Amino acid sequence: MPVIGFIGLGDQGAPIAQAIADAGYPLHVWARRPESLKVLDTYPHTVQPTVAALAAACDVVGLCLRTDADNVAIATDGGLLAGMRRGAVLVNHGTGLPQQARHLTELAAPYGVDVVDAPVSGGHAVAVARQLTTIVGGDPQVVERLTPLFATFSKKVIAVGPAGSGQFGKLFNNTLMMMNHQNALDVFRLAGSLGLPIPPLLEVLLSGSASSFALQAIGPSVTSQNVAHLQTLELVDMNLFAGATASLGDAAKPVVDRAVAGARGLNELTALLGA
Amino acid sequence: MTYTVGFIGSRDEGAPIARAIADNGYPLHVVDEPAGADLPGLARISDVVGLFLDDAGNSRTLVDDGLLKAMRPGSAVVNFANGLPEEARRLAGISTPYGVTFLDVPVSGGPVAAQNRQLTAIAGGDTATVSRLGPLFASFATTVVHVGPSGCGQQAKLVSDALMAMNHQNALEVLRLAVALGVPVPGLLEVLRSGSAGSVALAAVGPVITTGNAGHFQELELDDLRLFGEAVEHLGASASPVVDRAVAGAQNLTELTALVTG
Repeated sequence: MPVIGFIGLGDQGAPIAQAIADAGYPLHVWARRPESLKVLDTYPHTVQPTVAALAAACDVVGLCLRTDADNVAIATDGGLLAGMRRGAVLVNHGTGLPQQARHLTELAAPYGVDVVDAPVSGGHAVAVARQLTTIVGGDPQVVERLTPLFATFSKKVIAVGPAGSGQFGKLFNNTLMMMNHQNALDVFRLAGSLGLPIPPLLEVLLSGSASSFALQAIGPSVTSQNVAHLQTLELVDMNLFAGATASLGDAAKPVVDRAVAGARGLNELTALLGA
Repeated sequence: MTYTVGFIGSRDEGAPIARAIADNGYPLHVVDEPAGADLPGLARISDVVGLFLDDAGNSRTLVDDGLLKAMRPGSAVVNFANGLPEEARRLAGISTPYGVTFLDVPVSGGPVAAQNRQLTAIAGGDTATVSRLGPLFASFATTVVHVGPSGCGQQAKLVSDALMAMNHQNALEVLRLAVALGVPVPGLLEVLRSGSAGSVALAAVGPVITTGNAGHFQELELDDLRLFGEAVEHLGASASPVVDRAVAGAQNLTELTALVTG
């Protein structure tokens, strides 16, 4: 079994690393703050003292850091790429820009290291249940080789295309969901003006051709309690989407505007549906 | 309780509903085309008459052709087809003096749900009658929702049609961007369909809506959206963005289908 390295044991990274260890892969970790390693207390793992030591020990290194800038910093100045073996693979599980996924691929090429962008969809609870959807971009052969590894924490692994495609897939998914939220908000506002009672209308829309995951999520997973937090996360994603589609200029604007409106209106939609 | 059902307009979309009613053991009398049929005769033997006609056809059948006059007091007429909420209210009003209850119960789900008897029946009208006819509706619908008084079934159905078309438009707009960016569409579609971006509107393109029939679905959707536009016309400019977006979604359905099935 390949030796797996992992850096970034946060909300999303910790359950991923736990699933990898549980599946029997030798797991090596490094953390800036030793207390981050507590989440692996009951899982077999090896702690490496430095990034370079981790890099030298592993066939695959997974990153689950906050931003693209964090990835580049650890890959270059942090010494990760310089320490990795030729033929090893660097995997980014964080959500970021497709351009940055390609940039990381270029940075890694001189070291003979392959890079795969594999952002995950589903949130913390889904990660803990090992039911994430992992959306992958990169060399098809490398992606195929890593699929069993991704399957340890995913219900579905989708290879979208070349480097950056995983990020595109994740960002397009979130954008379309927010746009569908905006559609729902628009029609419920209209229904209010028509004097249509909301609860039976909601039942109709949920059970027929108008249904969507976006609508189904209101109540079960989007509530008045967590909606503000979700809105913040969605707007972060929309910043990334705007960056990912910037090369298209004004052509992307209606989509960006509609999705941002959907994110901003999510609290109104949640309130209208009494969730 | 079993009651005798008459069904007028049992061709095309009405057919699977009529078949399901018969298969569930209701004595069923069917009239494919109202023109030339003995409608008063049908009325006299029916406890419930189901209609699958357009508004003009309903009005002609009920009033001009004498169906309503011949129906027994205490019986019901149910319109399963899409129509204007206002027209549902008008026909309900006309039926009352005859002791006949008129319900608007359009259905949602599309042809596959119709074949599988998994439609959603969206009812407007008298509460007691909707509840009494619930088992009849359940022969072709997995979900029966009583939305409110007369016209509410049509309103909710038209809102549902609009939302579906708007979801089509969303999918189209993001796929256009993906194509422009060179993102491989098949992989992206797999993400969108299985993830939080998923919708019935997107799922239907490919399995149900194909390049062969997209033009037909487009026409049906545009017909429904013309009704929707009329039903919300009194709201003025506040309704236009919704109507416009839904119409765009229907008008672009062939493009979406080509992108998805490409």
